Parts: sequence; structure tokens; C-alpha cells
Amino acid sequence: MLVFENVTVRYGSFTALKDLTLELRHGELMTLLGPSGCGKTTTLRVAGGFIVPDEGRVLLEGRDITALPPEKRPTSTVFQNYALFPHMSVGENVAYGLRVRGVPRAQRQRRAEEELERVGLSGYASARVQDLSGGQQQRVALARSLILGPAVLLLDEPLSSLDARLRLRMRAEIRELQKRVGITTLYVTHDQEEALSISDRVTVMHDGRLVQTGTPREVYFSPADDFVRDFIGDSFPYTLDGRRILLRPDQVVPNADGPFIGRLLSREFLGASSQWLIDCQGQTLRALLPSRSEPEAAVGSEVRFSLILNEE
Amino acid sequence: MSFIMKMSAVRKKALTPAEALLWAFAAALLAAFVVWPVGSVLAESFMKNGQFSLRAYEGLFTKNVRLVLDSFALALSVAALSVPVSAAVALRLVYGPNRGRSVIVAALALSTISPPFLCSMAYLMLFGKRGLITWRLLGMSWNPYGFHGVLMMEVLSLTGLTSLLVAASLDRVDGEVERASLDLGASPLATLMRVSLPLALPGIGAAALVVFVRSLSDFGTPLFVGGRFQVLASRAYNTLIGVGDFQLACAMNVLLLIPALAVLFVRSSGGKSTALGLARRRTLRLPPLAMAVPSAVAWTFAVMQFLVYGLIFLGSVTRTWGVDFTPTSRHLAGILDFRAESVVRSLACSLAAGLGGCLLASVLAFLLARAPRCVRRCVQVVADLPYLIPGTFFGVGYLLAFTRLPFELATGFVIGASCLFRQLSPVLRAAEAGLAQVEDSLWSAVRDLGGGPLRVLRDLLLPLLYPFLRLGFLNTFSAAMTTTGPVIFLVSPYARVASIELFEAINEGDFGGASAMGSLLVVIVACVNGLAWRLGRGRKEDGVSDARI
Repeated sequence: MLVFENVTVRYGSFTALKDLTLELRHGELMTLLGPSGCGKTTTLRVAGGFIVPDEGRVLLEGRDITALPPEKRPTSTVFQNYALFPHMSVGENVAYGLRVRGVPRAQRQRRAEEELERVGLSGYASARVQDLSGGQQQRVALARSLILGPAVLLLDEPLSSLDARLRLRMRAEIRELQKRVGITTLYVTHDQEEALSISDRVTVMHDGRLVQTGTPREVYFSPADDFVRDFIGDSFPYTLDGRRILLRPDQVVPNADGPFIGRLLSREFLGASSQWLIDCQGQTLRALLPSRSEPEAAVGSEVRFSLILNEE
Repeated sequence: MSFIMKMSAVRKKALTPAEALLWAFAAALLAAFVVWPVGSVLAESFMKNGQFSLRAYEGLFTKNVRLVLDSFALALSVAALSVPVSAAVALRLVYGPNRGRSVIVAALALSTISPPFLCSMAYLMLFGKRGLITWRLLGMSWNPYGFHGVLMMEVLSLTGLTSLLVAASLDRVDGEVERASLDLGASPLATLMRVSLPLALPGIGAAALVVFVRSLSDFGTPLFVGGRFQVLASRAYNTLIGVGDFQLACAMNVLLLIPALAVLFVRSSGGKSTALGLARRRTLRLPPLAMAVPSAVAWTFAVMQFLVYGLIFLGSVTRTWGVDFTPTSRHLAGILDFRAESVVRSLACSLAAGLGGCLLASVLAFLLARAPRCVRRCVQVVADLPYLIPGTFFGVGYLLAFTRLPFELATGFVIGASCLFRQLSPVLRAAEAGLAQVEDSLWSAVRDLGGGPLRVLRDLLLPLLYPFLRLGFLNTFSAAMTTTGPVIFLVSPYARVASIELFEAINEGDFGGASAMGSLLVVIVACVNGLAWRLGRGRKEDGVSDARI
């Protein structure tokens, strides 16, 4: 539906996006995941029309929109700090897109009220945006974007300015709303857990390049390379049969008939899980076990374990 | 994320054709109306009959040493007296109780919206040859003229401005730091002395420099109450008006320029705008005993200000000051009959200067936000220059630059332009501050929701900049209505302005006419200020007060 074709963006001598090719499917939520400066926000801005790529094309439903300015694109962005207009009320903010399009006042007020209701803010139309909490501002920004019925919704780290608890709730709300509206969504985040939990598909980016696109399970269980394996989930290096690999702690499973033998260095209680450090022929492995079914083993004693090597 | 923001900033650097055009336009205006006039004065001071000559400077440092020394001694004394008084008033404003604060601020504001020599007139009305107190009540003939009179009057008329400057710098001291000091066990007084005042010191220093420069460039007060005591500014005025010696007058003005440049330097190294938001709550509460002195000083000062304006108003509605106090409307009627044209011209020039200043400042602020730092600094210095140099310097510059043109410029236009560019600096700062609060993402949001560039201007920039521009407009308008130094050489017998009428009425000893004109000016400026504040109050205002969400 939304297609990036060999898109390259340069800032002076710095190349922010290198030959990116990516396709969003109808109605899916795709996250762009990667560390700071990996090009994910640049990708979002290219989609929104704020940056015109130096090379490549952007297609929407087969139509070339590469040079279309933001105001002419059927895309809508929820900005990182929401960018709510401080001099307009909640209702005016939400109705702004309709006002620009010349929709009569009564009609746009009604539509704004509907949109506010959809995000759970009915009755807030005349409130000042400054008086809202972070989560409420987030919802106003969503409503303001959705009122135009955009073809693609672009979210730029929408949860980064919320506290941890609220982040979990808004994450679920955004996902629920996205599914209900059925809107194709591109979602930028640097938080892997957020990406894994919310996405239909995840695109991992690094140094301006696309590294891997896949379902959350695919990128977690079958990472394309060590960067993805290291960036998504926990991992540590291990040399097996002369080959250096990255292992995740949940691949190390202590059990009585495991083929490997090591010595338990320490056990650490982390709440729901416990972490074991196991020494095996001079190498240290980490294992993560559910605390409630953690086997009895004394620190310093020998333990047997197996490695789950063939991932999905 | 900041990394990406930097990147997008880099991207913006390429000038669009429209921006290049605006740059050319703005640069041409600054060159024509700031650089050229100022340069003309510099050049003229070295020229005698078209030849390079140091005659004027030689004269200044041989024959007129006394004049130079007197000028600086006066300015130093004014600063030395004004700063402690300002500090006391500022302490009362910032740390004192809320009750009565607005009354004191009103008193300070009164003196900033009227010509500096209005006090001198009130002084002469009380203590002059026909003074109410000295002549009528005490029947004595006391000589009010001289150094002491000038000193007192300049302190009285300049302390309003310095008090607001010092209060603003005290107000900017972070309340968190004061709370930390209190939390660590320092008493309120110790906190004030060791934390707040030292932090406000750069601002207080800047205020001292400002009052020093204002005193140096004030020619009206020495002219009216100096008697035989003269300073560079008043002598420069006489040299030009009476003798017509352009070179010497210019050289005197150049000498006055040096301290102004010092202020420019101080401002560029950390001085900030002077917006006053005294409504903020302060944790630091000074003990009543410590507040007693600042309170007393502040109230004394406020009462004196009101007294001055009360006297002037009284003078405008009574027949002959000191002789016949029968109520009359003839002074006001006289203005309507003979000087209405000047008042209208003043209004027109001031309105045009205010609006034009806002427009130019907005365009400049927009361009500067995207310009490299060195270009920004450079433009700011050029914009600051007319604001800081003596008014007469700027006026002489306009006289030299625009009356020797092969074609004739309308007097009103030249006067309006001088007012606009003289006050451009604070307007530019206001516009820059306003623009700084319009975050990039807000621009993007308008575009994203379907608004084109015009929508950005109409729905976002204008409403958000409005309160800042209004402040800038009022500043220019008020200054333009009451200015004398920059325009006194520009008026002609056929095209005069109200402030110059006032100046000349005092000069001729016509207290009735002067009082009436002074009252009228103060009322007009106060009304326009009130009107502008009223316009656009309401919801829009709330949004801007804490635009960061």
C-alpha cells in the first residue's frame, strides 16, 4: 500500500537513509525500530512529506507521491511532542484539519465531538490543551490526525513523553484503536518491547539501512544478523564448536538430562524470573528461569543443561 | 533525537529565492537607515570643508576638557544614585507583598512613557524663579539651576527605567536556587545577599550602564535646569542649532558613542530582554524589617512620580502657573487651535513606526532563526546600535544622510523611519522570543493537516506572535510619541511633532502650554497602551502565557 522504493536521504555529507525499500500492507501496523540516528524518524518524515528524498520514490496505492507536499498527502502524523496548537481549544485542535478544508463550523464541531468520543475524551472539546494530562494530549493528537480519515497514520515515538505505567496503557489503547479503525500505520520507536508487543510487523533499522522486516516472532527468534539479535532481546556471545554465536538467556535450559555440564556461579532472584550464571569450560552462560519452577541447585555445584539452538 | 533535529536544521540552510529576496530587502533597509546615518556622523566628525581634519577632536581634548569631564562626572553620579534606588524599588517589587505593586509599577511606567525632561519642568514649577514653593510660598529667590538640579532631575526621570530593568533581572533568578539556599539553612536575608543579588548582578550592571548612557545623551534636562552647567549632549545641541558647526557637534556625539558601545558589548555577552512577569510566586520572603527600607524608597519614589504628573496636569488646566490658579481650558484649546497638526503628525509617525517595526522585526526574526550564528549576531548588533547610541547622534545622522539627497524625502517619513529604527532592537528581541516558542513540529502539524504556507502564517504564527508583537508595537509607539533627541533636528517649521512642541514650550517658559502638551502626550500614550492590551485579551492570551505543553 505505502511503498518506499530505493529511497536515499542525505543531509550534507551525512547519509541518513540508504537505499531503503519497504512496503506497508493494508491495515497493518508496522514499527520502525532502531537506535537513535538509525534513520527511522527520517523514514517517517519522508512518508509524511516533510523531507523530499534525494533518490528513490514513495508510492501510495500505486500513485507516486514523492514530491507531494505534506498538506496534499493523505497521511497524518502524530508528533513526538504532539504539537498541539497552544492557542486553540481541544475541539479546535481536533477540528483544525476540517477547518482548513472549509468544512462548515457546525459540521466540524460535530465531527470533532465524534472523534473525541472515539478516543474517550467526550466533553473535553472546550478544554484548553494545557490543562490536559500527557495521556489526554496524546489522545487529542490521535483524534486530530484521525478526523481526516488519512490513508496512513504516522506515529513518531508517541509514547516517549509518558511515564512507564501510562505508556503501557496508551500502547494498548493505540493498538486497539488502530485495529478498530483498520488504518495502515507506521510507528517509530526505539523501545523493542513496545515494538514487539504492538506490531503486525517490525522493521529493524541500523545506520540508515533496513536490516530486517518480519513479524515480532520472526525478528526475535530468527534475527537476520547479530545486530538484530543484540538489539532485540537480551543476548551474550558464546563459542560453540569453534563457532562464535550470540545466545539468548532463554535458550539455556537447565535440566537433569541435558548434554552440557557446567558449574553454577551464581543465582539471582529477579522476581518473576531468576538468572543463573553457569561456567562451562571457561565460558560463562546466562540462563533465565521462571522463579516458581526453578530447580534446586547450590551455588558451586555441577548443573546439567541443554541449549535450544534451532530457533523458529 | 537532538541529533536528528540538528540534521534537519542543516537541511534548512539552503536559502529559497523568497528568503534571499527578503534578506536583500532587510539588509538594504538596515544599511540605509542604520549604517549609513551612523557612518555619516563618524565621517563628518573627521571632515572640514571636504578634507580630513582632526580639528574637532583636538578642540574637545584641549579647550573642552572641562565639558567632557563634567559630562562623565554627571553621568557617573546619576548612575551611582540611581542604581541603589532602583535596587530598593526592585526589591520591593519582586519580594514585597502583592498589594500596591501595580501602583508602583504604574508610577515607573509613567516615567518611561514620557520625555525625560518632563520632570525638569515640574521641578521648575516648584523651585524655579516663579516656583510654587520657592517663590510663592517662601518668597525666596533660590537658584535652582546647576549640577545639583540636573543630577536630581535625571535620577528622578531615569530611575523608573532602571528599576524595571533591575526588577526584571532579579525576577529571572531561578526560584529553585533560592529554595535550595533556604533548604541548606541560609536565612532569607543571607539568601538574598549571597544568592539572588549576585545572580542578578549582570542585570544590575547592565542597568547601571544604560542609565549612564542615557544621562550622557540627555540634552533636555541640562538645557532646562543646568543653567551655566553644560554637558557634551547639551553643548552638541547648541553647537548644531546655534553655531551650525557640524563637525564639532558630530565629534561630541562620537565621544558619547563610546560608552554606548560598552553597553552593546555587555548586552551581547549575556544581557537578555526585560519582560517582567512579576505574577510568579516567590518562596523567598524577606523579614519585614529588611523590607522596610526598600518599601519606603519605592513608595517615596512612586509618590514623587505621581506628584510630578499631578503638577503637570494642574499646570495644564490653570491660567498662569505660580501667579493665577484660576481653572481654564485655554492651554488645551491652544493645542487644538495651533498645534493639532503636530499631534496628528506625531500619532501618524508613531503608528507607522510601530507597525512597520513589527513587520520588519518579524521578517528579520524569521530570517535570523535560520541564519548562521555569526550572521545573527551581526544583524542584532546593527539593530541594537540605534537603540543604544545617544538620540541626538542618531538624529544628526539622519540629518546628514537624508537632507543632502538629490531628491527630497517627506519630513514625516524621515521622522517615522528614525523612530522605527531607533526602537527596532527591543521589537526584534520580542519577535525572536515569540518565534522561538513556535516549535518546528507545530509548523509541520499545520502542513500535515492540510494547511499551506498561508495557513501557517494565519493560524499559527500570527496568533502566537501577536502578544509579542503587541509589546514591540507599544514600545516603539510610546517611544516615538515622546522622543526628542532623534527628531529635534529633523523637524522643520512646516512639519513639527508634538514632543518637539513640548520641548520648545518648556524652553520658552510656557508652562501652561507645555503642561497641556505633556498631559496630552501622556494620556494618548496611556490610552493606546490600554487599548492595545484590551484588544485580543481573552482566550488567546491564556494559551500564550504557558505555551509549552
